[in-house]
Amino acid sequence: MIQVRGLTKRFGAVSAVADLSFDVHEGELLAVLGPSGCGKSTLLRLIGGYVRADSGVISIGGRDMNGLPPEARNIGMVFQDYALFPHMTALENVEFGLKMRGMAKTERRARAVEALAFTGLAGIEERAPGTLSGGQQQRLALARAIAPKPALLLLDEPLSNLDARIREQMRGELRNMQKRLGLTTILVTHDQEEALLIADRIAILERGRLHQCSTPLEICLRPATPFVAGFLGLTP
Amino acid sequence: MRKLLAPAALLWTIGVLGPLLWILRLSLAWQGSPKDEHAYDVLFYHPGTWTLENYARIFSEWFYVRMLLFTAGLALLVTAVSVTLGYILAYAVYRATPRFKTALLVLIVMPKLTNILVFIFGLKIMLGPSGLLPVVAGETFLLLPYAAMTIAAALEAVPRHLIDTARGLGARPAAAFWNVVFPLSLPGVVAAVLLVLLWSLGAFLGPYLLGNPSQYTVAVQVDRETNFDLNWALAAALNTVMMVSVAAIGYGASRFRSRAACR
Ligand SMILES: Nc1ncnc2c1ncn2[C@@H]1O[C@H](COP(=O)(O)OP(=O)(O)O)[C@@H](O)[C@H]1O
Ligand SMILES: [Mg+2]
Repeated sequence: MIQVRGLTKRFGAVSAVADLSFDVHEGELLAVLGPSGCGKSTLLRLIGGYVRADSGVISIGGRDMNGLPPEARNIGMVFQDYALFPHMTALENVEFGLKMRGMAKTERRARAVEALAFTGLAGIEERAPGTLSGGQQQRLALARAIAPKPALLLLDEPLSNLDARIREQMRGELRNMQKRLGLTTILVTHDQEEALLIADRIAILERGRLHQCSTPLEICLRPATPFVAGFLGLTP
Repeated sequence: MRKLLAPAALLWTIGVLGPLLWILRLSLAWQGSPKDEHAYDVLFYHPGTWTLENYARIFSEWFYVRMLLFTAGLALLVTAVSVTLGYILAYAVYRATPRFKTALLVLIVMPKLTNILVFIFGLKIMLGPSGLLPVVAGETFLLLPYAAMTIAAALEAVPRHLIDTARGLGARPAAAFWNVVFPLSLPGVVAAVLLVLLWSLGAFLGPYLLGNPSQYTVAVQVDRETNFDLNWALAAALNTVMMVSVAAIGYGASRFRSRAACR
């Protein structure tokens, strides 16, 4: 279980994340939903350990993450732009996290091939990331993130760079893979439909503040604040 | 653009190709031998003569062979030092926050805004008596900004997200650097090596003003043969040897690059 308590981060006068508290349960997919600039990416970067919080606590499985660098957190992250290593083959990209964990060559090769197959990328092992389609790059970033079996998966607007048609297909597949692996996941999005269709629970953010955190059904039936109702296009 | 091509070609022919061909011709002219009592009746060179004697001298007399070897060795040393230091500076620029980035870049380019002679005499005061160390230091200071800027440009093209991703996948900072940032900055390193190597092969002011005669490079000797010994044929031959070396390195590098691009 992931616990976030009183998490706060300011950039100068801007409160990017303001006193956030929520839980993510084991194997759950939590969508963090909010308009652009509401602090979603900052929240993920805080959890991933890429920026230091001003105050607040993040714990994963009861272990306090405070002060731990990203490499010590065992968290998989997929950035919006995928951030694939352009000088490595697809297979080497997936192997990277395993190599950094000191896994022997034959074993990590097998694991990487397996992760590629799991994400529907069998056969592209030796391709360079730049030669892959948008959908394939997205899958590759996902395969690379899940190969080391992280305790938590963070996805920053994973579908926003895809064409509308592929996006719907990937949305279903993403949810499917997440369920099959039972992987605790936080997915960030500004797309209401996406959040409602994919998530077990949704956390709605506005200017760094949490408005509501509950199931899609609960949110639609009982929006906690006028902002939530307005953002989801619900008439009270 | 097309219209400018013809004048440019003309200018290049007159301004570059012409002198080069003339130097080549000059290097094959006879200078006269010291044993001939009329040798020095004709200054500079004997027009209309053909000989390979100048090249034979350069590759057989220890004085010239040593000078060629020293010039190459100095160039390699200066290249190694300035590219290494340049990489460190460039990396500092890469990791700096936007505000410090500009300040650092200005600091790196600053030496280039001083007159080169003033700069070298300033170094002379700082570095003390002439010798190998001042020569290497001087040439390094002269070329460091080019190395740093070339590598900084290549580093700037490496998205920071890649470092974050590597860290998230379990890489410590050093591992993220060696596995991701460094390989992606290699084209910049290769360009910097090439730039500094070719430039330092022609080192003149550093060795001339900061060195003793034993640190004189081919470029200094070309000046001496031209302006003091008045042996133009030999100067032209020395010059041709350097030009051919530079062209060979440039050609080798372009082959290397097109091979690397095919991978
Ligand atoms: N490194 C930073 N420096 C200054 N301000 C930042 C930085 N990162 C984010 N911000 C600000 O914090 C707010 C939240 O940004 P972000 O987390 O990227 O939002 P989102 O991902 O929801 O679009 C924005 O107002 C943004 O301008
Ligand atoms: Mg964002």
